[in-house]
Amino acid sequence: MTPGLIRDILHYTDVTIFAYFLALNSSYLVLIVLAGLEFGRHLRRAPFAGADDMFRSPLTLPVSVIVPAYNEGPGIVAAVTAMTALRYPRYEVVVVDDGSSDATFELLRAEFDLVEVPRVVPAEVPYQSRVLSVHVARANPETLTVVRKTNGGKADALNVGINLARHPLICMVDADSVLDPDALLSVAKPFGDDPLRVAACGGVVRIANGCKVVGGRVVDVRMPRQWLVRIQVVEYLRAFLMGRTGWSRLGGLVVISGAFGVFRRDLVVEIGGMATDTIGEDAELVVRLHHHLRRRRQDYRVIFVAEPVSWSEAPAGLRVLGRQRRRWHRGIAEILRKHRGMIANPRYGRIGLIALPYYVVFELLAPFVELAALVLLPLGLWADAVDLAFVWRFVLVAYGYGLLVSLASLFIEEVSFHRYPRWGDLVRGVLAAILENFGYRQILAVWQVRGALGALHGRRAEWGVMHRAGFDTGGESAEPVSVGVDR
Amino acid sequence: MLGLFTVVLEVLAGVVAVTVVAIVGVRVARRTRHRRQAALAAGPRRALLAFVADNGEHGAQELVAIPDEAWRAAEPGALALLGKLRGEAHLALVSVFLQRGIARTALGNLHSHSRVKRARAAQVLGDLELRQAVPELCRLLTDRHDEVRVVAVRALGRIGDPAAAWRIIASLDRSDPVPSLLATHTLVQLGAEAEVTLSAALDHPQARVRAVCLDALGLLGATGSVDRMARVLREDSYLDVRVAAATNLGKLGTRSALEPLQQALSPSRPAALRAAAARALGELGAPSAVPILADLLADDEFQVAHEAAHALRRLGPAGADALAAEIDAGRTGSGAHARPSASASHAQEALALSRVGHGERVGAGA
Amino acid sequence: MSRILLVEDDPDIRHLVSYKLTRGGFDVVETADGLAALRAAREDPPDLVLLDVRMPRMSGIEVCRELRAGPLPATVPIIMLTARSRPQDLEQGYAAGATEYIIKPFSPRELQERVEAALARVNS
Repeated sequence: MTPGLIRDILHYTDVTIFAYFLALNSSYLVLIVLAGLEFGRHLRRAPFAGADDMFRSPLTLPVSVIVPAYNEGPGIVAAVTAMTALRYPRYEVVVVDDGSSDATFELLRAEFDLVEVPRVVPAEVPYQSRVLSVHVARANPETLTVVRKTNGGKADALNVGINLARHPLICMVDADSVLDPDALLSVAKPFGDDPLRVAACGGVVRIANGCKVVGGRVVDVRMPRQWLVRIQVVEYLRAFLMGRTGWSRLGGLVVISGAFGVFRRDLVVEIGGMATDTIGEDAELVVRLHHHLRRRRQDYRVIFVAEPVSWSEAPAGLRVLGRQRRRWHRGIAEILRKHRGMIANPRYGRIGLIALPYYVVFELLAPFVELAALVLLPLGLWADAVDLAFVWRFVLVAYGYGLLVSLASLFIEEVSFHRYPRWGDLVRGVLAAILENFGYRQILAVWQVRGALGALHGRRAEWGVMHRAGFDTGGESAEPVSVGVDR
Repeated sequence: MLGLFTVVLEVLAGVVAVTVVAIVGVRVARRTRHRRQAALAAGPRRALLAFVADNGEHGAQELVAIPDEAWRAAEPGALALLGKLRGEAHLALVSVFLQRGIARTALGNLHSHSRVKRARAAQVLGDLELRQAVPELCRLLTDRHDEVRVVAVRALGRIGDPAAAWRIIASLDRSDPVPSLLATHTLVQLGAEAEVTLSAALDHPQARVRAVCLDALGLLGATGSVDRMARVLREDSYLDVRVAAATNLGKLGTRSALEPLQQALSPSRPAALRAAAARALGELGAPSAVPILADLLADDEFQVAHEAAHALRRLGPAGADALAAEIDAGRTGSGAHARPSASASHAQEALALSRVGHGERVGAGA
Repeated sequence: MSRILLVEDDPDIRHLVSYKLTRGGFDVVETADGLAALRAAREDPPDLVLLDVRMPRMSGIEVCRELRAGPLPATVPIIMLTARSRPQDLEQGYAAGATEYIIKPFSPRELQERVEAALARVNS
């Protein structure tokens, strides 16, 4: 190859990468604008939404809240206490102790005066572990059940919980989630408004770090102290709150966080419960639900509720954050591989034609392109394929556009929910949106690439090592760590 | 190319700056407005509380005289207060709303082009429990937009005029009806006077209508409709409707519901129906159902056996005795080390739960 | 003058009830949540408690149970305020030690009469 050809290739690659960044950020911006429209729609309707009528009606669909817990000793009592005091007419809490080695169960037993009851556990969805015992709270046996089982990972624990759940709606919640008192009411409401079509409904997860939490409730919302977490706050606003609301409006929502989601139990049973062979079983469940219902040509909806409902502790250290992000990206890669037949398949409607292709191009591949840009731009500069004037403008436009997207999220948050009342926190949010571009994005891309590669190559080896790791606490609440047995 | 870049950069910098300014601007504007609204609403709010605390005996004229701007600030609070009050205080507050012309405006807004306005107006009329608005709200039941129809149904429920019953039932018979649970709740709010209409609608050709009416009759405790409900249980062509009939016969708590429910247990019937009938017998609270339910403990269908056990649990001492007998039979029937039979397991589960309810300590399998 | 401890998180209802009862000649202590209520009851035991069932942090049922377990003798009436009137909901409250219920929406006059009647029963 002649140096001239190499130069040309580098030149066009760099221009392509630039175009990719523009398209990526434009797509974010479109989602954010859609989210803004959705919030406006929602807020205008709040006066006649009828949340109070729903609370008073004896017919409101009852919910089973399933809480998988593995070594959650320090926070379990506060969490379960808060969960049993939600504002909802009729619901039960099912805690699944996934073979904890700490005092998780003993603490619960002491606090709620648990009594063991023989209970026939149906196997409507398959599970691999063994149920050791079932307990109920003496004072209100109908509302709190605690199951002890041998360790089998989060997905398996959820499956046992689904079997024991007695109500038509199930809500899966992480044991370290801090829920708003109206959380269930907000997220179960779409099922009451449109019971024939709504199949699943996700709630937004926000970051609890820095907030004042009293008795299992967030009472004062603040920005966290560390910049690393502040950047994540902006990231969550942009990607989860705005992104998922936008997708929900488009009818293409494919991810509901495991930290808070409500599903119709009959549908979850129909599709066989949680998959134990993937890392992101929460997102996988939603994709599988789409898969199933689209194949049946059923008219259905998967909805995202933007009202703050669930607060999670975000990782404050690089090591834990890295692990979390590797896992998330690996989850995306695994799900896309498992359901690759849906991608670009007109049979699956918007999911197949828009949402999943988008995930491949702009979620799965984004970190690869980001890293490629970091390598190829200097290379192009060195090979004289591009000049310095191009490069610095390229960088400024690419990052500047990204910054604009983050600021647009902050703007819409300020217009709609304005949950951060302090001026200082507003300034910190804006600064975090700028700082994100210096280091955070790059290291994130490295983790994500490693996660995606992990899904494609080192699968077998890594699974051997991580076998039956149970699931993590350490503030990695938003997504799961459970690992199943290899096929 | 480079020139274009430079322009893009300048535009971008401008937009970023504008966004930052907009964030700050939105916050300042919102806070100013809130402060102003709060200041405006403070006086009317105090007057409102004093007014309703005194059952509206004095102060009505002062409330009517509040300037429009201040009233608008206080109105959401006043509407919320309406839902929390009963008796003279409620009536007095409603009359203040009427004197201020709120109801007239709302009635006018029911014809607005904006669906949000129509829905809001319907909500206000429901909050005011204004009977004169019923015909207009019934008209809204055929509104183009489902969200407006939903609010209209809720408002009719708040008002509780049984004359609206058949219009609500009719509105269920369309391709995108209001949610069944909402319709049921509303029909129940219309009270016992709606029973005749509901009972007649059990012959409606639309299955959804029949199911909703069954649920409403069950919640109303409409014992006069047992025979018609029993016929649906026997003859309806939809399983879901028959299940609803069984469930709601159980809620009536009357002896005449016993016979049709027992018939629904026969093995030839679908499992879902039999499970619902077993559960209903428990709800019914008739001890004479104990032997039949005890037989069902050994049923092959998990749901049927499970529901039978829990129905026995609800039937008091006679049911508990039957459960205990089943456990004993399971123990002697198999060897000492054999696992308990399925029927004994169901019985054990139900019995243990009933003891928890009574504060006795129970051990697993003990 | 009888002391009434009012526990209600809805400011409208709290101010309304407090206004009504103060005008009726009672000494009303207002609290907005269960923890504050327990503290107030320990510091200065009231003659009657008006307790909202649905509150954040601690439900009225729990507060009721705690009150009966600790600072409040069984003779002191606890009147629960609730929007949910199904028998099973009411039973929970009675089991926790509540004496009676006032169902929301309520009438301020009826509330005052019920409070007066409950205090009269204790004093007779």
